[in-house]
Amino acid sequence: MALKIETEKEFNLDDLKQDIDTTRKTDRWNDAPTELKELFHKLEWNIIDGEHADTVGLINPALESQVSARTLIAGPMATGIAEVGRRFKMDEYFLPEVMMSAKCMHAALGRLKPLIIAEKTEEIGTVVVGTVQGDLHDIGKKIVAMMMEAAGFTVIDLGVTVPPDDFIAAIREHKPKIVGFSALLTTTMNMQWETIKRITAEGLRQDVKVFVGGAPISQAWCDKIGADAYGMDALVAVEKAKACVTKLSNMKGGDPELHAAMLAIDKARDEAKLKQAQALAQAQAQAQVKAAAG
Amino acid sequence: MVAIVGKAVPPQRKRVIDAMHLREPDRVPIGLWGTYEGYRNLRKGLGMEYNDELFNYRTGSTTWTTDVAFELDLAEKLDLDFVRISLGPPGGSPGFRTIGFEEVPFDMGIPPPSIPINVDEWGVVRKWTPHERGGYYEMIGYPLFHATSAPLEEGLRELEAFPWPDPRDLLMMTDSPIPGMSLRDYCKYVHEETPFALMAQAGKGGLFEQAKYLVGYAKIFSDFIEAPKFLDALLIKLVDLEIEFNKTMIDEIGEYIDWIRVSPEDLASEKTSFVSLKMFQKQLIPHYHRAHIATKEMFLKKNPLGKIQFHSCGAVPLSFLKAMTSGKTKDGIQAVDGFDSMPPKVARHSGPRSKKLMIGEKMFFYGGIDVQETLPWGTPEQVRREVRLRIWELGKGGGYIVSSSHRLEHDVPVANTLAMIEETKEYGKYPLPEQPPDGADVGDGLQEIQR
Repeated sequence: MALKIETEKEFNLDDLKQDIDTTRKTDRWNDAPTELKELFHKLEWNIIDGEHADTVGLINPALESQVSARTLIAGPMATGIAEVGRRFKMDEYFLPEVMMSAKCMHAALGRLKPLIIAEKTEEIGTVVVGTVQGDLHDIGKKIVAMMMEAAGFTVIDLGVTVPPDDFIAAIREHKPKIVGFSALLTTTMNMQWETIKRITAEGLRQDVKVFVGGAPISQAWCDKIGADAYGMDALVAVEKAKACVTKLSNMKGGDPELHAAMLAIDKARDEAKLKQAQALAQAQAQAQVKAAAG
Repeated sequence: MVAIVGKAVPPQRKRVIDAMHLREPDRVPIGLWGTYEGYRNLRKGLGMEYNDELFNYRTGSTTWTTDVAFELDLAEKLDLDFVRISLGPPGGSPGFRTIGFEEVPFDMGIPPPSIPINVDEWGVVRKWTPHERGGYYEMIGYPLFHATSAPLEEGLRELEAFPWPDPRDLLMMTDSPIPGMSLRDYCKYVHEETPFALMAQAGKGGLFEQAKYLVGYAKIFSDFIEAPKFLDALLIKLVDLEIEFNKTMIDEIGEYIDWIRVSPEDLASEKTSFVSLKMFQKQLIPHYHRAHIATKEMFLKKNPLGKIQFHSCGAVPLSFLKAMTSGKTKDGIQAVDGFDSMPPKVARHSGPRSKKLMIGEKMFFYGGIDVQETLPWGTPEQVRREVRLRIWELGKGGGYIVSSSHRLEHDVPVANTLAMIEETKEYGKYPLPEQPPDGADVGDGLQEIQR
């Protein structure tokens, strides 16, 4: 069945809160058939609230009504997890809440994955991720991988302590648009650099956009080692990855303009965050004045 | 005044005591903290004898496998103000047992690794993970992972039956940095025969921290929501053990040590806390208060000037520290006095300047010299600049002890460590300059800035 989803809006995070707050009261899914509206609404909030025990129970009736797996993922699941990401970014949600929502997404994706493969629709792109050699940490990387999958990417997760040669073999085999390196330790983050050097030496640097992330990683480190983008958190990584396969898809890996475009995304977000903080401070000040007057 | 009968307090120790008591000493005190590889690197660079065998250096608990106690010859050579020690594991060092994969009493959910695996005194399974200059024991198996997923009654039964380490085992006191000397004798020696202050730590991960190791990092966070009763029971058990560990330490060496670093935690990432303030207050703070208050009360009986320091990495919110300091003994004395290790490259609202402004009247701070960028990759001049910034931000009125913002790793050049020490001695003399050094954070500590 045809179901119109406003795809442009799904990841427009600045609008999302307002959007979803309204949704809880009214309904976001106006184009959906009446019998599904309620279900979509519930699925979205099931993910935001992290009630994973019920997730599959919500998905099954939708599938029975001939809604495609892709529609569910790009629709209520994407908006739900994007809202979780926004809350995490704004310090409204912390790891426990995010882990609960992640469990919902896992449950849902577990049910939907075979169907997606069967659907064989066009992918927006492949992403190869891995934790660099010598480093066994992968919780953060797993969250990134899952968020990427939810955003429509095919994710090849090479696991932990991945040698540069394995990254190179994966680039040759899967032809990803993006490759992401994770590292948690200052003693292993250097392997991100080594891996980029190896990729360059193999003549593959222009073929892939290189993302880096992990606790000790910073924008300065990303600049220093010549990576294309730094993902401060999973949501930023997804936001930048989507830009890489849409409006920036013609740019080559290692292009300084691509690097600048990635920085512009951070700047826009910081400005939005500042604006929100200012608005909040203003509202609080007004409330105080009001309270003092009353 | 310091109660040392018949002897003046040596200047190094006095410096540390003054700083901890939020009084201005003659200058800001300094001490070092590092991994085995970092320590070996430093000794080598200083032309001192060093040892190539990790376990030939006493390493304290297995939880912090790579920690070493910096030896007295090095403290003397560098003219440091204090040294640190930690108790060994129950059962004695090194605390690890190599076991076969088939001997692990629970399902780890992974295929057998190709190299030998080890189990620590808590039953946490570890794998040696080498890097270019050394390595560390990474956790790969969590003994209570299944208990927390089980129905509550069953989980609690597992908790009860769990083979907990014995916190009264005096084998923890066997080894010291001086071969052949017990830890008790070593502490007595440092206190009576050397000028150094002494910091001690009973050898285990913190409450939430040890819970993470037992349950697993991926599981513990959702447990706050899904298994709060189990988590509470686990934390009660861990507090009981923490108090017992500290009791053993205080009974044995309480009169010789100047401050206790209670079992360290990690409460935050670089960006923000792991859990919300609400969860922290409801599900964690009561446990911390119980552990800290009991420890402080025991310690004060042995050392009336004794202080207690709490550790967390990351951008720990001020609200968390305020909640920490609200724990009081029955005599109304604040239980936790200090906080380390003050990583500076975190969200500014929880950075050094902001902490000093918001809670500096209640807490001393330890650490603060960036180990993520400046110390490993900066020039000695950049290290000196950072030391000046930190001393200016944190040193007013005492309350600051210089050290790296985490362990010195092998990637820190010896010249940078020396620059940190020398600049502390030069710039850190009281009274501190009124004028902020170039690049200092002089704001109200609330807005984000780019350093």
